[in-house]
Amino acid sequence: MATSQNPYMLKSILINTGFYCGFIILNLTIFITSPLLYLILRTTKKHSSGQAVRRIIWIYGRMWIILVSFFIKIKIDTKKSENYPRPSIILVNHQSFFDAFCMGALPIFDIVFLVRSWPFRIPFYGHYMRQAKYINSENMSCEEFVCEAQKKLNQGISILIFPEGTRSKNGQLGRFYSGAFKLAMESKHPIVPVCIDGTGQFLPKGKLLVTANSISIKTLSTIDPVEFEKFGQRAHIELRKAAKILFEKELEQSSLHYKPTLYTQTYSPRETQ
Amino acid sequence: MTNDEIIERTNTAIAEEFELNMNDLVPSASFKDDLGLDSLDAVDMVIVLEQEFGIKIGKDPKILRIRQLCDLHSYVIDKKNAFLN
Repeated sequence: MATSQNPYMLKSILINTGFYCGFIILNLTIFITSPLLYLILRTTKKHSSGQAVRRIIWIYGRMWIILVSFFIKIKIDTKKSENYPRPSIILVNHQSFFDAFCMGALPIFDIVFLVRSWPFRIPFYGHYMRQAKYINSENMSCEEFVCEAQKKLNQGISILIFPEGTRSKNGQLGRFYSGAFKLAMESKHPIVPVCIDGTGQFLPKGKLLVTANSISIKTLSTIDPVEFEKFGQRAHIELRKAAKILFEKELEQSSLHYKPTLYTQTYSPRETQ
Repeated sequence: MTNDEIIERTNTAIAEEFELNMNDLVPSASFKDDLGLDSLDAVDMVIVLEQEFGIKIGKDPKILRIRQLCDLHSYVIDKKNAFLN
């Protein structure tokens, strides 16, 4: 048993060492270069302060994807920039801490994330998130959230929401909360669903070590909330159900979903006993 | 419709709408802590109950104060009875 585990353990050590060394270098690089990048974007691209920081975060995400692609396979099908109505409400299913990094795969950068309060307390990240004008949804009422998000949409900034509200513990798609759909019905801005798969196995919730699992990031068909106006006061509920079905179908078809790898099978408790 | 039927229909409607397990819908369940429902869900709950029972709840301040499932049951029973009378 021990001999059969050794290749996988060695692979795990190599992947984690390589990935986290690269991750530290990436963070240091962004930390050192971001002031210069900020000045360049402000002067040459005429970005606003928040826009410049959002672009830096997006570049950071892109670099993270390049880093990860050295260790695992990443399948990206996020279409072209023209396929994203701007502004839009981008919905992403949530499996892992690294899902936010995967947004570097999108062809657009001017996106504000809706996040809970704890990520704002992460050193380094929290500062950038505040500068990028991310929305802290903790303890916000429905009216406050819609009002705040509408302001961003009116400025031409897209909003990114994880409709499950939290990371999935078991890889299954969780319940979708209504906030994003209420916003879509009130603002009439289109919904762009982005389905991520594999990140939950790459770095599961509550774990620190990454595993050699593939990741896929795919942009699904845009949903126009106007088509749901016919449902009256149930419009946002029907919109929510339609969006969830899209994600469910995509995850069902995904070759990555719920299939344990050889590595995870080898380390299952039953086999190690 | 008996009170038990109202309770069962309320639970079924909530379970279907918010993808909850029927076993979790005990009378003492707190909407926030036990069922994970937030303030946005309260809006949906009103719509669902109005459609399920054909009653008018709207922005009734009483429903905004409800924290537990048993209180919601009592509220719906009162509303339904008031509607019938």
